[in-house]
Amino acid sequence: MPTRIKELRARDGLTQQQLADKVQVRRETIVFLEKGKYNPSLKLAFEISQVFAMSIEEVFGLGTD
Amino acid sequence: MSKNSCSLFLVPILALCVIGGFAFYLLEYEPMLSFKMIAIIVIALLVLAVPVYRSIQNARDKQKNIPLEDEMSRLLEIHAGAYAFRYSMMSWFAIFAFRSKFPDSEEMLGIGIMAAAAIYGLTWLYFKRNGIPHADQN
Repeated sequence: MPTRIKELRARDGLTQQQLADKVQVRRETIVFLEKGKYNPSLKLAFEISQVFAMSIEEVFGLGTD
Repeated sequence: MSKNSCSLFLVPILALCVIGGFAFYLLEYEPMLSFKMIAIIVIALLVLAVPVYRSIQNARDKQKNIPLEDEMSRLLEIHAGAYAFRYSMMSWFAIFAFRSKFPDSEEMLGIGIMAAAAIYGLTWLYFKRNGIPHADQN
């Protein structure tokens, strides 16, 4: 699944570890999410979207197809 | 005590028990080390190194308030377990196919159990490095 996490993290000046701490996951999970190698649960997708104050569709590119 | 805190204590204790048991066995029954015995000890220590390494990592993460497990790490363990089970079955078939090569059944069982543990450790490391199969598809 394509995501904009890396781009949004750079926009907000967050490191992978800082984002991981905010959503209470391990840094590796953020790494795999950014690489598109892992589809998050709805709960995690929602929490990440909340960190960036955006909707899930905007962060995870669900509306791009 | 949570499951994770429990594992932080249990893994080093279990590792010490295994090493102690080996040391006792060697001193008592095999004072003259053969090449075969050294090979078994090396494999056992390698198998043991994975949970001990993970336990040390977990202790460090706990100090930094990093969650010890999350949804992806749980999925990683489930997938690694499932794949390791499949490959372990194959290794058991291979071991039984060559059972005449083993002098006794205890040695055959010991090698099979260590191989199963090693397969799980390697599968877990491989998926942790390269990603969980099909985890990017729903």
